[in-house]
Amino acid sequence: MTTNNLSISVKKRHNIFERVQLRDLIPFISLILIALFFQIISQGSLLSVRNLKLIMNQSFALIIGTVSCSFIVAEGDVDFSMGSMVGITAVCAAWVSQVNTILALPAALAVGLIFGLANGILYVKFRIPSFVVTLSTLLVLRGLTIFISGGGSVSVPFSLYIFDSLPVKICVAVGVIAAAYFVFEYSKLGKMCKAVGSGAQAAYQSGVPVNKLRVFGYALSATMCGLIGFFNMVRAGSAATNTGNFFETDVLIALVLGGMPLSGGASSKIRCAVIGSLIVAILSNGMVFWSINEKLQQGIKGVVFLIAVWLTFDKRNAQLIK
Amino acid sequence: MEDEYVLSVKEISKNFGVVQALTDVSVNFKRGEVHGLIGENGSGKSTLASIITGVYRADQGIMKLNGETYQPSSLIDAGKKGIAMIVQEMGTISGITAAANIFPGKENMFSRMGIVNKRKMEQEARKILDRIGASHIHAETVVDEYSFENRKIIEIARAVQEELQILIVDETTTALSQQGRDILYQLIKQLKKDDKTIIFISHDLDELTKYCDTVTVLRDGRYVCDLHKEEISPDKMRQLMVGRDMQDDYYRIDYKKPPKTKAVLSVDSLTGKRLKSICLDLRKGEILGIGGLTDCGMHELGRMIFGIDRPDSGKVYTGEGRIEITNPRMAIRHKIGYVSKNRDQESIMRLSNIRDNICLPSYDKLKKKFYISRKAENDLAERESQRLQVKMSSLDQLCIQLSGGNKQKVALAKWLGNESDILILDCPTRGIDVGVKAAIYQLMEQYIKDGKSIIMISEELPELIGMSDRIIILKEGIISGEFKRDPKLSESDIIKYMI
Repeated sequence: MTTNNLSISVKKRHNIFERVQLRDLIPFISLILIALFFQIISQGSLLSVRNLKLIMNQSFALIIGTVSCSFIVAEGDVDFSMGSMVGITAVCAAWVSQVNTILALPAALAVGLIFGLANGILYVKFRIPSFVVTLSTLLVLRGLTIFISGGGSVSVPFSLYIFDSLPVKICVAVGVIAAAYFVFEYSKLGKMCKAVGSGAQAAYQSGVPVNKLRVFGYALSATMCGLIGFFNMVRAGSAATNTGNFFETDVLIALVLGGMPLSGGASSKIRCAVIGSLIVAILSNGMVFWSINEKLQQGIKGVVFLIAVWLTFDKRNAQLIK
Repeated sequence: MEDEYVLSVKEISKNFGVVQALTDVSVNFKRGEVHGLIGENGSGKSTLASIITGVYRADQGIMKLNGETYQPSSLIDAGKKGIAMIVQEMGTISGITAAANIFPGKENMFSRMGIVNKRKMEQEARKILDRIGASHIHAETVVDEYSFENRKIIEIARAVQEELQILIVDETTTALSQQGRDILYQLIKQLKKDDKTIIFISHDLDELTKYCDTVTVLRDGRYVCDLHKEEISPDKMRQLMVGRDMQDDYYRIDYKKPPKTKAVLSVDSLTGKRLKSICLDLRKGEILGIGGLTDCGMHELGRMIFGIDRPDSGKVYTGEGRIEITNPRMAIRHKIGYVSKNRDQESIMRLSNIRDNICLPSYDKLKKKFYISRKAENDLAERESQRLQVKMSSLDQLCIQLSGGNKQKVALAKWLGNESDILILDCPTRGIDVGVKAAIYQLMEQYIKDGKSIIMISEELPELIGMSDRIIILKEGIISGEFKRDPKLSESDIIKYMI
């Protein structure tokens, strides 16, 4: 057996059709089907220019949220505190904006960063399981939000309303998606995050700084929640006690509908986040056209979630909660 | 004629999609014999065992148990008919007692009006444990408190029930220490006396030579031949398994003394879990073998040298600058690689593909600024997997689908791709078939010829004797002996220092 044998064998370059599996296509097909379905129900209004603008506005937060939490999910972890993170950052930013409008966005990001680091450190240094940490954070931060907003809402100066513009949001969203995609697929950081999800011990023994990456994941997710909090706040004109409520649930549903494996690892993809977010946005938007009672909408989302998990969850290899 | 066979399988074929696992395999198993079943990875022996125990259904062929047609629908069904199997991986259920693990699904035997009499179940369990010589295991203890090995013994107790006719031992011994193996061998002897049959699947050719009455050889899914009693020998088995003459240079054949080179790795008074003040040097261009009983501390030593575990005191140094190693990242940066004995959990990421596994430690080398191109990854992974001749369908294949030997090749490819100068290998050929074993030995030999160094931690004395330039033996955490490479060195010389 020769060891320095750079054989000139035929390189098996699989063409694009062989690499794409049926499972990868399911989310994309679902997106098209759901869009078609509601287009018909709404008699053409779903894809009208006005409604499309509405959908884009509505899906903005979800897209940023799912894309930024993809790193945590790729590592096989979970972040239940995202909604409360949006709330606390929005409220803090609103409060700061009353003093100085320029500091509003930095404040939101900073608050997110601090609490995100807290999440990560509690998980890694104190060895508390991630779902316990983030569930506690969810409650603690929600309480803090209610406290700071004095049980009501904190309003935002008019000057910040210029940020509530679709072009700005589209730029931000595209920028975030592009950056995340590049880092996820082509950089050492992204690959190492996926390695943590695939086999944390093996990754550690191959030189991956597992703990640092976990803290990074939570810090990133929370900081981006700060971004979402800021935009939420300028759109609504204020930050209230329930800002961001249930956001993490929507993020989770979007990820699953988009085909993101909750156990993390190498098969995580940014496109899952994006497609999933669009599906949820169209679903929510479309249900209004279908005149579905508001109270039923949550229930329907739940059922869709269940079906999506059933269809895509890789039961043999996954561990939902580590 | 058929009465003397407790089980006969005729013309069994099985395919999994494209892969033809078995083709027209016929084997007869006699009552009261120890019948070995050997073959390389991919030879079909595990598939055959799975068909006999009802895990899979054959596509063609028939099986006869005691002369009657036998077609088990599941593992439990096979169990009821007297066929049980113990495997290599974890087979006990965590969180419940040993007794509960011995009688799973049979709680009815001990229950009255729906309430299980735990005491009675534990009593019966105790009887079985005593019978197989495992009285140190307590029936009422929850199995999580026991080591992997003791849990394996509890599995054995589960298999040895009243109606047992055939016990299949599927590569179980690889993970057991000498004590565990002795319990198993005792059991085999006892079962034989009771006229039961044992189907013994193992890669350990010495073990098979010692205990088997007949050995059936499979290759590439087909039956090759049977060896009987006196015909059974490791060389003969090796030859038949691989299908070509295994040359004498299975291990290294050179015996010249290497020049005294400088130390590339130094361990200074390392003390910690199981280890007491270990000092040793690894010289450039040598294979340093470390051996001893399972619990002597050698595995822990490997982990500490690489920086995975922190020692209580002492240091590990490498290179010219005497740089201290304190964690794996540092070790890797200084061109050290480590292959754990726990292959599936620690040396490869099972859910990732081959490419990702091979490239993992080398991203710094591959990246240009922040960008790692697909091409760079493919080139590296392609080159290393070719060098080691990993049997795969493509670089995108998930490692979980590879055989044990190929997983090990991927783990080694990873470090070769990273251009490591020092390799720490813990049980590098455990549970791997002959063909791949030989390939790994050749690789190790070439590696040191290129001026690199290896620490090989192994529980297999023939391997240590055959491959090492120096052997250090640990006993209860301290170095009890050191041996230099010598054609006259034998196992008995070394064993004295181990026990």
